[in-house]
Amino acid sequence: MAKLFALALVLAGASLLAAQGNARSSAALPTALPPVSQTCPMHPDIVESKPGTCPLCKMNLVPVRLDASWMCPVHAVVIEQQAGTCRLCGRALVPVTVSLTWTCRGEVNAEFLEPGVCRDGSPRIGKRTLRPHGNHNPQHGGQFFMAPDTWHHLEGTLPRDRLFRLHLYDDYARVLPPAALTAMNARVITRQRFDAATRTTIEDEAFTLKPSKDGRSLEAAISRAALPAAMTVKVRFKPDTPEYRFDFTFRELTKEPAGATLVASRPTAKPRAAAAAATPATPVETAPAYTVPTEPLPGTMAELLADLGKRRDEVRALVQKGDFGAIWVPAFQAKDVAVALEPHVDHLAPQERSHAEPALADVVRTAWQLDAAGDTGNAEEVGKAFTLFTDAVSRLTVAFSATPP
Amino acid sequence: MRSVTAPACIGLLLAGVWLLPIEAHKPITSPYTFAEDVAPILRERCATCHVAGGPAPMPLTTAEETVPWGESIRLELVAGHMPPWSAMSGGKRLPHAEGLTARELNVLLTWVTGGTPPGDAKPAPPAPAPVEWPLGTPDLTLPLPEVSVAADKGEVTEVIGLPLEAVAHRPLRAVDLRPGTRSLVRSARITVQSASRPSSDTETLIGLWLPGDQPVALPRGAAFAMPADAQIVVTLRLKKTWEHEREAMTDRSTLALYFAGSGAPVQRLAVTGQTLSEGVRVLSLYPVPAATGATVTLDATLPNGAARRLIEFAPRPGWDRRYTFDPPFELPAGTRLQASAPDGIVLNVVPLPAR
Repeated sequence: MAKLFALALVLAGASLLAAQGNARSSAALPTALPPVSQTCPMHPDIVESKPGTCPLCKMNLVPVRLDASWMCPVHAVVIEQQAGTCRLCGRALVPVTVSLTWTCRGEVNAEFLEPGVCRDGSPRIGKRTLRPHGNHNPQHGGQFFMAPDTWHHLEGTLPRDRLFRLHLYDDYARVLPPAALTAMNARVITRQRFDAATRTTIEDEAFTLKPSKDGRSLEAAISRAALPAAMTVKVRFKPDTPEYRFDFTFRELTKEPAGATLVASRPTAKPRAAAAAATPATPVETAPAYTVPTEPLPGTMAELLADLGKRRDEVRALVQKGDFGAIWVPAFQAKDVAVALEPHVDHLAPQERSHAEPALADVVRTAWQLDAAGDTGNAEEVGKAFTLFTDAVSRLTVAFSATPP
Repeated sequence: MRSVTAPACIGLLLAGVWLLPIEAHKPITSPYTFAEDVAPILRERCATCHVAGGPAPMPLTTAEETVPWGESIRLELVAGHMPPWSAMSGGKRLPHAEGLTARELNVLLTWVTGGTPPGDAKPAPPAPAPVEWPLGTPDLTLPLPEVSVAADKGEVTEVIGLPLEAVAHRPLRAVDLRPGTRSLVRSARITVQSASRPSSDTETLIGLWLPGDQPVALPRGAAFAMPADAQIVVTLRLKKTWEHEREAMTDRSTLALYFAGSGAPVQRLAVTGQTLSEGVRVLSLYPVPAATGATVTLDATLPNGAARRLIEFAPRPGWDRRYTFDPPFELPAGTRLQASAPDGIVLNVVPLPAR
């Protein structure tokens, strides 16, 4: 999902490979700077070693120095040179990919690729800038999600009857090396039920996911599944990390896109070289990027309310289909409608207005919640956000409907 | 944040530690900029606390200060934790509501996730200076004793009983607090208690001070009584921010009293589920502290059968708040009240004259 608008939701892009062996052991400032790479201003997943144009949007690439650091998963202000804990909250730092630039005090827009001296004679100040995610497109025709650790990404496919396959990527949507997959503990659950007495989910049928022959994915031979087939993957990326849940729904067997170009495996060289040299391939399928709607929204209150209901129904349909990765589109359209409705509260009676104002804000807030939950593919989180979203839409509709426009 | 990054940045650079991330190469997708769109919202809605020396540890008055906190801002806004206003809806108007509007929320979230463009760099206007006493010159100010938080402590709660003679025993229409050290005082619970029977059942809450909150006075015709055996008890909660976590700090706040000329005494009415035996005028309400953490609703069924929700809110630990209705509203005798909080809600009411 190449939704540019939501790219930066993923600020905490972690780097498992760095954690596994590429993290620097010294906190000292590197004496040799990372090489200059070229990236697209609009598609940060595009990283080339030479100047040129973006294969996605044809914009001129811009220079960037990429490096690895450690960041607090909550406080993005905390970026350190080494692994450790956040000095604000004590959480374990996660490895991230950053770009290096230098600036001068008091010059907000000053950006340099090298250290040096400012106009006032003071040394330029080094900055580490988190690299946002850019490519959430499925590469094998499946469903693509981001893990809650915000570094792993995965894609589930049902390439043929009785075969489930899980493709795993890093934060640049590059295929993880076989060694990383071997360390994972994952299973796909095809039948499960919720036991109300114990309030636990009982897995009636689950299959361990094992590395495929080529080592590029995890897969399991599963029992015949009637379509649409819903299944849940639970995966622990490393023994000491939490188990994450991802819910997939396949309405049909997945098809490998024609002419698919597999993304190159991440080199196991030094992180700086890896970051600069890796050249992700052009995604095969590109979802439409979100932009601020260019079409004018309906003008009247009644039309806006009707449009809001329509977006709510679109979100519901995607939730029911299990197409979580696409939820953000109608959810964001709904919040745009809510913003457009806001001036109309002036027409409401005080009683209704007191209900409408918080409901409007709640539509906006829950739309962003839906976006974040949809990215991670956790049906439970999506369900919670959807419940809050529909509740806010309902409250809004009731409040506005009580007063004739 | 400021004390760590800005002044020390060059030194830290020399030490080999880079701390200040600015999104230099993040794609700019936000049509909103800090200068044009974000700064006015932060200034209007957040600067009371998020200002240098304020109770929040991170000032948010300039782009340089705000950009590094973008992800934290996103998390807090999406979770509904900030601003710390917990009323979700209500049939009655609540003055001083601090929730962001739909547009404000959307602008901030779009900006923090869309590359945090700074816009035209221009000097930020100075943050508005805090008004010393928003309700006007107090009738009486009472300096509270100095309270210290040792270097190895993060938080101290001090219960301060004010001498009987000091509170003058005159009915009150409002109380307010001026923190001595703004970055330290997190809340103050101000009650009137019987000196001879110190029990929560007999106390009347007359003020819940929170950073950034506007004090609210009772409407004309109502007053908090100060009987002869009463005293004012201030429960002061001091908590250091991470900026000062290894410092010894002190506070000396000041309590302000505003006397009421005359008025019907405000009564405390604890509600779980009950029918009113007499009509009341409802001024404000607050949950008992145990109710924090869950959504609380208060519904009324009038004698004619009409049902309506009076308020719905989600109290948060550490952010105890009193909700004041403007204007107050009347509930006739025979009204059935139902509070969802297991330990109930406390209403500040004035009985209606018998008809």
